Amino acid sequence: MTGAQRLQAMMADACFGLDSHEHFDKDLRAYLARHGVAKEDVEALLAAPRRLGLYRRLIRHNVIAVIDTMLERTRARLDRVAPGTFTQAIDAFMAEAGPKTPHMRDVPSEFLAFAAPRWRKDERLPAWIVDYAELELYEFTIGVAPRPAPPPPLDDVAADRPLVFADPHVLVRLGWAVHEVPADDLVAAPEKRDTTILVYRDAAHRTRFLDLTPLAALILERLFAGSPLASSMVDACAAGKHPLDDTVLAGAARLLADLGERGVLLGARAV
Amino acid sequence: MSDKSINGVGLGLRWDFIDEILEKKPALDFVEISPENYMGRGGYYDEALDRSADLWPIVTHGLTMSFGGTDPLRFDYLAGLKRFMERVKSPWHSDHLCFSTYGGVVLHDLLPVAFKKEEVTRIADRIKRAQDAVGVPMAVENVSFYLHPGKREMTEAEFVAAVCEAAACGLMLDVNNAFVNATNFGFDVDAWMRSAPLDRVVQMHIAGHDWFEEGTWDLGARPKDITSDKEGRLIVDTHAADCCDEVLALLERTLEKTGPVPVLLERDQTIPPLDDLLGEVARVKTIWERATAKHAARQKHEKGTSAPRMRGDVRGGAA
Repeated sequence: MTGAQRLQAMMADACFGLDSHEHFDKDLRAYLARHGVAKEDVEALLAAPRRLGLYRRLIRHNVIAVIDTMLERTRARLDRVAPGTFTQAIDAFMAEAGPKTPHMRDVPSEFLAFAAPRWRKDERLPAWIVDYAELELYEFTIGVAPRPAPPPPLDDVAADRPLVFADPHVLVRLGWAVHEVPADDLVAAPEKRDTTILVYRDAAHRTRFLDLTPLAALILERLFAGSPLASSMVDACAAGKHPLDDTVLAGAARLLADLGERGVLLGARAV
Repeated sequence: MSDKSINGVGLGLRWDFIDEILEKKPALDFVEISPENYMGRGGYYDEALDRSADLWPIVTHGLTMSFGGTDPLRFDYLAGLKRFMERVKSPWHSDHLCFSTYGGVVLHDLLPVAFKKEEVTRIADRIKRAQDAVGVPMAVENVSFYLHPGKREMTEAEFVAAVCEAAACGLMLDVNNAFVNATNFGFDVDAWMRSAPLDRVVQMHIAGHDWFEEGTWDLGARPKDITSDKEGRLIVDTHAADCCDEVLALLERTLEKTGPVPVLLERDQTIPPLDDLLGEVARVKTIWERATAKHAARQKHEKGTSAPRMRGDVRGGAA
């Protein structure tokens, strides 16, 4: 390692290390020695012994603030049932992984990817908390998802054509109906029920959520993958062990009409 | 708006007031944005950026280039930045003379580098490569810092000058940062300005700051006499207050030397009502006009003598 690398490694650890502040507050010289900081550089750092703490505070504040903002409702629920858990997860994230993205807006997604497996294993926490956090975060990530490319040439919807949908959209599969939990009710628990939510951005840039029936979710999954309408219906019914009857056809027609009104379904791909 | 030249006084565009400012459409000379907040992003603010570009010239100021970092430059980030620059048509791009990445981790803040000769060469090489990748002239900003992360082999101003010279890049002169560092470390900010490469200034930043109690890092009172009564206190560059009189005076003295370069007011926290913010822009503009007029008068007086090399070197893309 070069001298610059040692200094930067030390400062990164001072800011994100789990208990680094305890070490450099207690004995800064020893802390710097452990990081292999050159003697001539040690003297410069000892001249302002409390300033590493300032950088630690500034940097952690930035990361914590963006995670708190975008997972506010998740934090409130975790703080109620297991105080400190959310903060500990952020501390562990910074110490063990750290943000990899240059975009502050993507830090909460990196954090949740880190924290979710831990929260799933933690028996003190509600089993639905990861589903809840994922859906809360989608509200933001779909809202800021990249500007969609212009759609291809379109025709009227036809059974033998793949359909074209407006981006961004995503099908979110959850084990709990967390979307039914009132935002301001910290006590309410969701029903345990396999749920698929279509999350999309409307023309006014608002993130919208649509609770789908299991069969509708199977159909849309195939349509989003690019299968023509007719084969999507046949495959979805087979996968859902559901007869392809008039009820299904009428329901699918209503679903597609609704998606058209919402601006999600744009039409069929032109030949 | 891409054909409009950028000068005068601009305002950092922030989401806190973007709806109101797009509705009011004040006559700003330019606005500044951080590409990291828009790159690869769609939705409401992405559309707001298009509306802003219809109203004002845009310059870009990055946050995570990590010119001083020891991690490899992130060419995926640079490629995204290049695409973004093509969209907003900023005539230059600035970022900070600091490091903000280590070990693949983005620290999301600006950490200081040691003022060493070997660092000059290393960082200048990174600036040149970044400039080549992005395809627009680069400018580096002097940052506020609170410790020296290593032995000083030169002053900060000498370091900034050496890096700009070696990288043949511009200087984004943050007047508040120079004041903050001079006050915290007890040096003469005018001497700093005399050593800084003012001939390379492409743009200036001006902002407010706050005093903190050292150690607790709680917000503290400004000392009555900041030259002798600041024991246990230091300034943190919060961008959370109005510009103080000393910083505005320093801006004026500096503009008298540089002549007309664009000045940008930054405000990132405790953002006041937009009218107040625009009032501060107007105050800075008055200073800008007074100082640049004085500079022009002096130039006229000195007509016939050779003019110093000015920012046109960089703004013209020859850097």
